Amino acid sequence: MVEKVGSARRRTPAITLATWLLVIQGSVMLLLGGLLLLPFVLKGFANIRPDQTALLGDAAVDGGLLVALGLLLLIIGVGLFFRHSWSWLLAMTMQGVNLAVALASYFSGDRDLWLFLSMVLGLLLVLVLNQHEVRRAFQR
Amino acid sequence: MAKEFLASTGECLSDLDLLRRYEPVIHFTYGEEYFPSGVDHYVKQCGLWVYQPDGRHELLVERGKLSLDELAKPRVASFGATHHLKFSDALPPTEVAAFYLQEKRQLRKTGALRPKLGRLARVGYGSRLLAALFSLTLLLRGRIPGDMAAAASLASHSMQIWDEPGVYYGRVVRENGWTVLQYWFFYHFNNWRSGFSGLNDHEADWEMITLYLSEEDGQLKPQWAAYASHDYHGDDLRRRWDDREELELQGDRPVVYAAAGSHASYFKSGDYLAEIEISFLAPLTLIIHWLYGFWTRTLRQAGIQGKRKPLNLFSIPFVDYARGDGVSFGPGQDHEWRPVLLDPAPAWVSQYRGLWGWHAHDLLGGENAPAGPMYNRDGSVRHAWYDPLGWAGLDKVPPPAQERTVLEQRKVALLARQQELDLKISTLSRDLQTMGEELAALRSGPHLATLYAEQEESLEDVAAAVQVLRKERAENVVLIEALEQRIAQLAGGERDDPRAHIHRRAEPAPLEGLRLNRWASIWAAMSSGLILICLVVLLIWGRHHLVLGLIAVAGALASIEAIFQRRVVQLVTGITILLAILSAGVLIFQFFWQIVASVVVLTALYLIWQNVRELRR
Repeated sequence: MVEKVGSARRRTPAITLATWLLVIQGSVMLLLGGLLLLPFVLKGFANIRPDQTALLGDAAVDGGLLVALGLLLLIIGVGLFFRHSWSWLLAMTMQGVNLAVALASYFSGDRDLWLFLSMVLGLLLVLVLNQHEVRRAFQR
Repeated sequence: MAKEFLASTGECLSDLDLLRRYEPVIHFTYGEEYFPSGVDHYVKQCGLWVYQPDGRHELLVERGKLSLDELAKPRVASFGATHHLKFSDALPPTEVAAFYLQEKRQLRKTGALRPKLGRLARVGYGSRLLAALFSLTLLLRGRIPGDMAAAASLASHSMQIWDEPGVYYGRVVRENGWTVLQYWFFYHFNNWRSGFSGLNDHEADWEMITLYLSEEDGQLKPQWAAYASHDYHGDDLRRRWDDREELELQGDRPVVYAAAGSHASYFKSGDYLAEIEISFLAPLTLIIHWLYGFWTRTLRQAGIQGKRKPLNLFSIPFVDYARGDGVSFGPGQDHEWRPVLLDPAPAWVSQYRGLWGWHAHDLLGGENAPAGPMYNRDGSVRHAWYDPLGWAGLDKVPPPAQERTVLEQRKVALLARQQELDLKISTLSRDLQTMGEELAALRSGPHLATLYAEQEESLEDVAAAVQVLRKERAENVVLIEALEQRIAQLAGGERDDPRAHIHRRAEPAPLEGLRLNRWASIWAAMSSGLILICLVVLLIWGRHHLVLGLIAVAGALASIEAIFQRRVVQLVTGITILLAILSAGVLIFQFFWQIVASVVVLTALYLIWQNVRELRR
């Protein structure tokens, strides 16, 4: 249900920007997850050769996780757009997890472009979500 | 003795009458042991000593032979020597143990003050570590030993059986249209540290409150009250008499809440968090404040809720318990007052410059006894004594009845100055024109070059002088307007905001938001020690995973604290922000030159856009 919108709960441009950034982040995850799951969709689990099982098994887990996270981000984005108070905390927590994973990967030697893009997106989202007016709009 | 004549009632009030009319009501905290007492019996109980610069304490007058007259006798001493009293002698260990056992039983029976929440639970880890270090310094600094505190308690209790408490020493000063009433209170001992986990213990304690009266409609009326609190001074100490939210009155009497052990005076009941700032860490605090300002103002990020500045991470916390739930002194209270007038100042006030209790040779001074009402510990005259108006920042404030006169006088003076300025400016402006013409005439030949240069210099000097005068005239116009506005405001009976002068108001610390109080206090008391133990364990056994270990310890500490303080949301946000800052660092490190190049390209594009826009106009 959409909450009543008072003057402090207006949809500011920062909230719209945060929504778009979350949608982009969620869509990218969905896309990556979808790409990882594609072989299973095309071939079906039964047709996978035994020597490919281990490798594709990892891909399936990663793909499933990415799809789930992508969907969650899209739901949070929708919640943020309609200014549900739970969405702000969830969005912030997701960015915390995202940045923690990215930093852990970086310090383990990973220098993938996707990693830096993920960091940039996470950093931007944290700065937008932590703006005075955005926080005020989601305060209970 | 001075007398105050009240035109309205025809009453003639002596200083003592004035003091009695407005004498305060003091509410103490339950568990307080020491109350305002007379100095005569205390002095009889003391010995007089001198502390020599070589570290020796020499007995001058034995216990039982000292009187106020004896105390006031002039005594020669070398530079660096300090005269001091000694109220209590150290007790043998068995008696000390017996005393504390009995005190514990008494506490259990009466349920006297048990801090609802430890001071450490109210501040962060930085302050807790500093507090632990501060406690350690007591081992190195001079201090009042526990046996002396026990002996003082026993001696004071035995005296208070026959020495009826409730004495104040009053003083009336008339200055700049103000009538100042000072009430001085003497306590046998300050047991803030040993009794209430405070900053210090010392023998003898002098506290004070001051009332400021002025004549209004032929009647002397109280206008302000200032309460002494530790060694603070200035505007923050005083409250306006009509500000009932800030100043509690019982009839015509101000109500004071005396803090347990320290006897500092407060306007409202409650627990006050007094943070002692560490001066050498001030630059670090400034850097943190600057970063916080950049974060909240420049980046428009949300800061700590309701705080314009971040918490002071480098201060030592102490709590003053001024709950007002114990014994009360004042007219109609548990104990009445017995006033003693200090006018003129008796010899024991003006002649004895020494300390009123044991000199613990504490380098920081907090454990040394204070001097009398007139002097500081170093023998210099107390600010509150020689300048009672300036002590509470009232030296710049005229009494309300004189405000308009002061403003009118200033306006007349300014108008006269304006006339003077007009005349000067007009004369100098004419001179300037003449000099300008002369200069033009001197341009005619090369042989006049030197004279021209000199004349030009003189002209510049005169022009500068005219500019200064014109500036003053313009500023005076604005000032006169402001004065007229204020005169009209006062004529209309409009008064200023009673709290406009307060910069930092002492407010009781809120307790809400902290749950599991007992566990929070236990955790706060243990945390600084645990941090150090964790560090040692990590350094010895976990050096290979030091960073991970430190992160885990910090995370665990932050989580426990957040749960106690109901700040889990803030914790999640804080961790995410910290990770974002780390990521920003990684990105800058990884793409430094690309970022610099992008900034330069963007600046160039902006400049091009600006210039093209200018062409199109």
